[in-house]
Amino acid sequence: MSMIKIEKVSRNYKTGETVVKALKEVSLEVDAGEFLSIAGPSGSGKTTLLNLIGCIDGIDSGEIYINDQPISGMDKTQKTTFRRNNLGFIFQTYNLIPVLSAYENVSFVLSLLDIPADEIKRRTYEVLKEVGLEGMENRRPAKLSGGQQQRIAIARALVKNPQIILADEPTANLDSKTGEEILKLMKKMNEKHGTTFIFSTHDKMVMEYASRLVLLHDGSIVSDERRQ
Amino acid sequence: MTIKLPAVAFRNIFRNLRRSILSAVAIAVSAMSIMALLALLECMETDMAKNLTSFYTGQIRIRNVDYEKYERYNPLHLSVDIASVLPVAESVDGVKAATPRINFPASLYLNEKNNGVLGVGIDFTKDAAFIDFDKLVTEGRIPNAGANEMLMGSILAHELALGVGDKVTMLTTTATRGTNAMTFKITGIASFPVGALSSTTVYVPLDRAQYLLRMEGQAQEILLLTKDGYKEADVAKDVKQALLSQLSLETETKQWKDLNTIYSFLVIAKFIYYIIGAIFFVLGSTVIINTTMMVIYERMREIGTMGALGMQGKELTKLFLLEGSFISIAGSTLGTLIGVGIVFTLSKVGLNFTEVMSGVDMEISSILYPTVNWFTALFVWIYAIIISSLSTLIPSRKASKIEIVEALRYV
Repeated sequence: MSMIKIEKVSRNYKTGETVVKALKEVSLEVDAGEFLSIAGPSGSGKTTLLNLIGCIDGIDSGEIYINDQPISGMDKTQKTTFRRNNLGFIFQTYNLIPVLSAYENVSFVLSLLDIPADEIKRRTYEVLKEVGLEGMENRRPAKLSGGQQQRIAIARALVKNPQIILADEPTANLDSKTGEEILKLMKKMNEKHGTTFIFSTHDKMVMEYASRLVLLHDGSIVSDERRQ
Repeated sequence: MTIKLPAVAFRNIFRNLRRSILSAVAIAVSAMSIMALLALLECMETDMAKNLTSFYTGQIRIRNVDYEKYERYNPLHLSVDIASVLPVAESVDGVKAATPRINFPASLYLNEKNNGVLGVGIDFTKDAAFIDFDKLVTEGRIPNAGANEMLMGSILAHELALGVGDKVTMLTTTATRGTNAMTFKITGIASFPVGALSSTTVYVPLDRAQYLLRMEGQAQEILLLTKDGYKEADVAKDVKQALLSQLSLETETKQWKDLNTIYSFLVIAKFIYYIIGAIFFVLGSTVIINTTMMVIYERMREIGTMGALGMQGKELTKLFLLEGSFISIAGSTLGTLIGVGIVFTLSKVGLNFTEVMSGVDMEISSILYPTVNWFTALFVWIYAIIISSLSTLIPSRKASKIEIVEALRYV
């Protein structure tokens, strides 16, 4: 059974008098543990699709089920709680909180959940070690490179053991070498923890790493390719 | 260690320290001004109460029941009999001290010219409970009972070029509407806290005033002081009742607060000032409202990120509210402490209103010494924190209403 089921989802945006159809009756099913890339040119609807799966944007028509739970019926608070418990996010610009250290940025997510302090500490150190930031726990984002900041973002997404991690162009702000390192890390975490990764990109190198490649164009899926 | 919202809010203050300081200073200026002005108002109220009860009306004043009706004619014949009224008043539970007085308009005849003054006939011994003459007399001594002696206000003495040992003739209208004159020797010069007293008043022994005014055994009024823990209004009611039941005497017996409208205005003014204070704080808070709004726009993407990570709207509101509250606490503490410092300094050096108050008929001392009232300081501190924090709530609530998807797109 699919973990995520997207059924004829549409999303339109209004810009003045103009209506932009960002997604047109998109349907897609994603299984648990997939390492799926949503690719396509700018304006194809990649970020919109990720935002809809991530419950941070509203669906105009159709439905998205996550573990058979429809998300369109949830109110704002329910969506936030759902994201808090089930989803991890990685952003193109890392989006770390500048006043917090690497350790605090990661543990902050756990502090929103009902988790004991010693457990938060153990899990945070463990995940920072996993992403290769051991010894840099007390550094603030401004003192770290782009690649290191994105590693914190990955650790932040992973630390609560979410079922799904959504990454919007995670390597777009990095040089190709660092970008590749980040992808390898994400892949490693996907294989180790079985977490479902869905990431958007328009970079061919990034697409190569995906075990499944969904191609979007003008708000519609034009190809869906599974790889070995 | 797990990071908590208050810690994040606290660190956020230092992201733009100059702006945070500016916000805190705006609140501090408001708190400082309110602290200093409330202390001044409180001091004026206390000072006025002390002057009124000492020099003018006592805490309770007994007069002839018809006196008020004809007051503008100076009806000295509408008097109270000291020998019968005083013992009854003194015997009432709650009465600490009682003194008879006669206030009368008079003229001092000097160099072929009449100089208007206010004469007060008092029993210097009994009045010691009301007025501390020993502290007020700057030259000479208090007049003796039975002697034609006079204590003169210092400004009046200066204006008339009179001093201790000089003799002066006083002319007045008697209780029987005749005229009379008597020569007094100035035995003392006194400097009173209220400028009007120093510039217009002369004190003479009660028995001499009675003789001059043809009021033997009579007083225009009997003033009372109450014991601690007794309500003046209740004691006034008891005294009035005692005089009625024991002497069948109807009197005008009132507590001082009912006799002094200016004091009542001052009390009302204090209440109004609290409201003005609130407005003052709201004005001071506009800076912090502006700061919080700017902070929210600056951190739009951060708000989106925190929302995406699972922070509820109320937690986002709390984060910005805490940030504003920390700035408010810092500003209020600083402002209140500076206010306390100003008041403390004024309590030592005094605030001289001599020139400002000249010609103003108000029973307020020319030099005021406001004192630090820790309850007022605590009140201003909490008041400032609450109002400025509540002001922060308005923009902070906006953070919870921002659409995450819009916030994440924000550049």
